[in-house]
Amino acid sequence: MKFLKKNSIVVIFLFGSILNSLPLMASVKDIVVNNLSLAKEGKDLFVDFDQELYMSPDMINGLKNGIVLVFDINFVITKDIPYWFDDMILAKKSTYKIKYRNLLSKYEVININGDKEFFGDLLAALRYLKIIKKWHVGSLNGKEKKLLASLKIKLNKKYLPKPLQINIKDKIWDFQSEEITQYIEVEN
Amino acid sequence: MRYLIPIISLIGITLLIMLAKSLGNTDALSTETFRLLFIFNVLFIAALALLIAIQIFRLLNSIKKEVVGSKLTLRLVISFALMVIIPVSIVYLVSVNFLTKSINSWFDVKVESALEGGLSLGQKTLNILMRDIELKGRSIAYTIGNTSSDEKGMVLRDLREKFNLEEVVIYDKQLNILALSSANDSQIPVIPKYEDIERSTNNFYGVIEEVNDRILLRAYLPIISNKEIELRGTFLEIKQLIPNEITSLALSVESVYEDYNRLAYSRKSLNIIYTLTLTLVLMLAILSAVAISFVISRRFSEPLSQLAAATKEISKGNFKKIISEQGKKDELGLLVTSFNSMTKQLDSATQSAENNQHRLELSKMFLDKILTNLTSGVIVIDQDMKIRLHNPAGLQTLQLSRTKVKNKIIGDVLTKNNIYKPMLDFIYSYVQEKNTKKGFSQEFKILTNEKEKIIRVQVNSIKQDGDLNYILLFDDITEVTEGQRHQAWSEVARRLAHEIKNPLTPIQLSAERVEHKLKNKLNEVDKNILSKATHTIINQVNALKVMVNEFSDYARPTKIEKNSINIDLLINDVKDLYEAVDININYQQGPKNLFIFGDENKLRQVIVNLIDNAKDAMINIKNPRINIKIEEYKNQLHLIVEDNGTGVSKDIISNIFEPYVTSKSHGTGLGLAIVLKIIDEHNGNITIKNNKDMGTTVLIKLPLIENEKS
Repeated sequence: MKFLKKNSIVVIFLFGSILNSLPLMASVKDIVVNNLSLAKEGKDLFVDFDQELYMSPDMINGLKNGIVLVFDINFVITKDIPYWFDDMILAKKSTYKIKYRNLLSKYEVININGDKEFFGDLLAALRYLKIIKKWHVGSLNGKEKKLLASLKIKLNKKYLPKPLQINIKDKIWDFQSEEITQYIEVEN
Repeated sequence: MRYLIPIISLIGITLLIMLAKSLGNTDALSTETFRLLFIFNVLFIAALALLIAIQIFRLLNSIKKEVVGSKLTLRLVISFALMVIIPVSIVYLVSVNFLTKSINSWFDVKVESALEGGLSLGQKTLNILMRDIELKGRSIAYTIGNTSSDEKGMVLRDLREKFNLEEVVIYDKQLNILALSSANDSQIPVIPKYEDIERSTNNFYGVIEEVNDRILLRAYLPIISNKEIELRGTFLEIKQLIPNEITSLALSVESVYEDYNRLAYSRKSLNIIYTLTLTLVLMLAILSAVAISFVISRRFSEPLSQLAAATKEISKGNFKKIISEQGKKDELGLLVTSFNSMTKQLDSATQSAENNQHRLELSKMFLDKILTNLTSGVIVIDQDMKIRLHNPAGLQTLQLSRTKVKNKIIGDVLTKNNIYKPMLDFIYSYVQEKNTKKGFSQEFKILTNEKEKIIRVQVNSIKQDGDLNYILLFDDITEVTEGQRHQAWSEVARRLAHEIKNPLTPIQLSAERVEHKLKNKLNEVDKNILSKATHTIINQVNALKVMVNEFSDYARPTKIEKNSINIDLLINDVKDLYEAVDININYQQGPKNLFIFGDENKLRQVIVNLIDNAKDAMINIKNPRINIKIEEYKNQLHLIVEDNGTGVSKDIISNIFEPYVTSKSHGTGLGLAIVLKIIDEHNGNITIKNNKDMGTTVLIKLPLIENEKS
């Protein structure tokens, strides 16, 4: 009891952290990213990758019920500093969106470039989103030889209805990919 | 605990506000934090529950240990907690029910049907418009197919205007524009998708899209021409924007329908979240209430507990117990102030009582001391003759020193050989008569250990609290009586000496003269008679003179010349005087030379007298012997003269030192009286007692000289 009295705050934090990290551990293969590659043209850095979205029937049902799915693609390049925090060299965030239009009976898709397309079925819409080519993520001026690039795609729950955002019971909206990391070498 | 509860309450309220904020449609708090907040709230409630459980455990433990005030605290906690739990629970149940019903009421079947109908209406309208476009498109395609190449541009424009279309374009297979007519000439046509062209190869294909918040109908259909070869394989694209009014209505219905569907889809989650949040609020409210009730109960019961504890202390006799008032001005504060005032008064009263008690004890001790040091014996008895109080002298006088007499009836105590019977009768008669006369006294002769004591008993009555008690004063007046007797004898002796001695000499002289004058004038017979008579007179006169001289010695105030005397030498001197006598005198010397301060002649007279007495007592005794012994005892000389003679008669032994008290046939009976007088003049003491078997022992006690002892 004396231990709890003295360390209750620490125990609460640890317990909370463990509980909070449980859903992250449980949903790491909803979005699978393949063929991540980086290309540098001059100072500009372009990223190519493929993605597969494995949406559950509940999620598709939600989509059909007017829920807008907004996905965030986060791309970060960091520089490893020994015995210290990593230095962020570059960060880029883009979004794409899938929405079912009941009036039109079509899936409305807006890709990372902001192009809007309508598709009669979800597979066609996902196919449209599958391949990302020449995504301009920024410019690199440094001469660092070894940098760590990481990419993660995650459903932005902010655009979900509030009850779904805060429903601690339902985990289907914790939809995200693993963090794909890759060391890159940059030479001018 | 004083600061813990407000801090906990503050944290709880903050967490709840943050939770409520994250529930709302605001970006003030990220919804991502809701889960963390929720977990924090749950953990906080768990911690609060644990804290309360510990408090309950401690409280129950206190009750078990019978700590003062713990039961009252428990009652108050239960009361306060129930005061909150019951209404809050009711509010909770009503709220949950109301919330669930409210949420469910949003999803009315009629509303749902109406929204679906509205959406369906919009869809059908768009389909009708699309059908209209198809008809118009077929008409245009047929007309263009039968129009010459030169005129198709103009015909196309006419038809577009005629059918009020937005844009009409003719594409070939390679998607090259063959003809174009647009309501907005500045707008460059967008090249159609290949898939759309593919789908329209043989028939009409229409697409409904939303472009810039407006609904656009896009239709494709092949142009069939039998005349113009160049138009073969071409197709027509028609674009028609839906009127703004219809678009906005359709989009509005779609938006509401989607909102409704989203809400309906989230209904379950909504119920869960609100119910959980309300439950958290309920739990937090109840637990906070219980926690606060602990604090309030303790604060409320603390003064009462302190009062109870202090009362307990006071009941044990600790009147110094003061309760901290802590500046409270309510009824409890008043109670505490009054209690402290009462305690101070009690303390003061107790102090006063203790002082009085102390004074009483001192008085009693003083009285005891007086009684103890009083030479007169004091015994207090009640009406039942029970001894209530006594002093040592009282017991000593009555020879009860070794007896516990308190609360015993005096008659049961004084039973020794009925010697006290007259005295008891006297006391009984006084008590039974309930006599209140003061100074009622009588003297009693008590014969103990062959010694007669004269005890004067004086009875006084005192009344205390309605009870009559009797104070018995016992005075041993033996010595006083003896002294008075000696004084009387001295006076008698002096008068005798004075009255008798004076005529003795003329008698003697007259007798001698008679004999002298008549001796020669009488015959032999008369002469002899005269001679006998005158000799008798002269002898008797001489005897009278001796007696008168002794009386005179006894009565005369003696002049004593005191010097340091070695008692050993003195006894040996006296002993030498009796060497010729056929009596064995054994003198047992002391361990060292002992000196006394006195008149050597007088003391010699004492020793001689004692030896003479012993000698007289041993006539006709075989192996007569006199043992003389000296001892040192407590700075006193003990001179013991012991014989194996006939002893002293019991009848006279108690008065042996009085003049004319003697068992001898000769002598004046003044010997021991003079001895006693000499010993008294030397501040000494003399006692005579008969030995157990035979003979007498005389003990003389005289003070020794300190500096010449060694």
